[in-house]
Amino acid sequence: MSIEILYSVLALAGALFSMGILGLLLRRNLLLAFLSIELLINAANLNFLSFSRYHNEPTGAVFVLFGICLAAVEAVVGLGLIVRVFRVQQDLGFAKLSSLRW
Amino acid sequence: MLVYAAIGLFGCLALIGGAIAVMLRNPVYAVLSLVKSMIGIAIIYFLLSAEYIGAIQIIVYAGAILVAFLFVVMLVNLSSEDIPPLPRGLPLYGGIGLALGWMLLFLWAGFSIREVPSSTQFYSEETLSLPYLYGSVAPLGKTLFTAYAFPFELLSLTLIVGMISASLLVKRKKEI
Repeated sequence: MSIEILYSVLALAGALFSMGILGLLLRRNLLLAFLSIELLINAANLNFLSFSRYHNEPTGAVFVLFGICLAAVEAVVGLGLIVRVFRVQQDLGFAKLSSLRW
Repeated sequence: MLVYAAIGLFGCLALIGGAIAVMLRNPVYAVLSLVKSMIGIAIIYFLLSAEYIGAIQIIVYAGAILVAFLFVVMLVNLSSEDIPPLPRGLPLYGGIGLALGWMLLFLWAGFSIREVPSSTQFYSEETLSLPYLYGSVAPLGKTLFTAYAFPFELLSLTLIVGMISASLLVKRKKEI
């Protein structure tokens, strides 16, 4: 694999990461801000895998597996929290989610 | 050249999917567009000859995680009236400009830097060129179950903790 392909994939991962940061900062809803975190994790995974492919070492691919698994755990816990918050507040907008205890 | 065209094409698919997921007001369409983005990323994994990771990406991400998101969107009955529109002006356009500038910076670096970075100097030329069974299950499993066996076990513990905490979080108080 040539270095041009590496940098093309890095460019794609960088753009995906910036897009996820953008969504995380600008979306004013808990669920949709959480959705952009998945985009961030995928950009990081893409970085890992492109470097792993460039060096022809499976270690980076193993870390991608770890990343996908941790993303699954994070999604499950986060969605549980979101359902809990919705049950209490009936709203997921950031404007109403200002108190930590109820 | 075909690889560049394919990476560009499916990279655009992933980017457009992510952009629509970030911009759209209807949450169901946003999640579905993120599914499209994940499939594009999986095809990029295939193009980087990591077939197993690509398959896992489609099965776990597009098949499980985002469907769980979709399920929660329908459970909390989120509609586009609940979502405030994105703020216009400097945050939005500045962010988009930042994303595109980041991408162009990397592309410029990739096509202008000719020498290999110093961290790859000790790799010989045939290691860089020949991916022997690189993306298949065998070398991945060999690395996972020898060098990273302990993190793998920790990961299983994390999965159990996540499962228990999710079921405790969603349960109502009277049922505990």
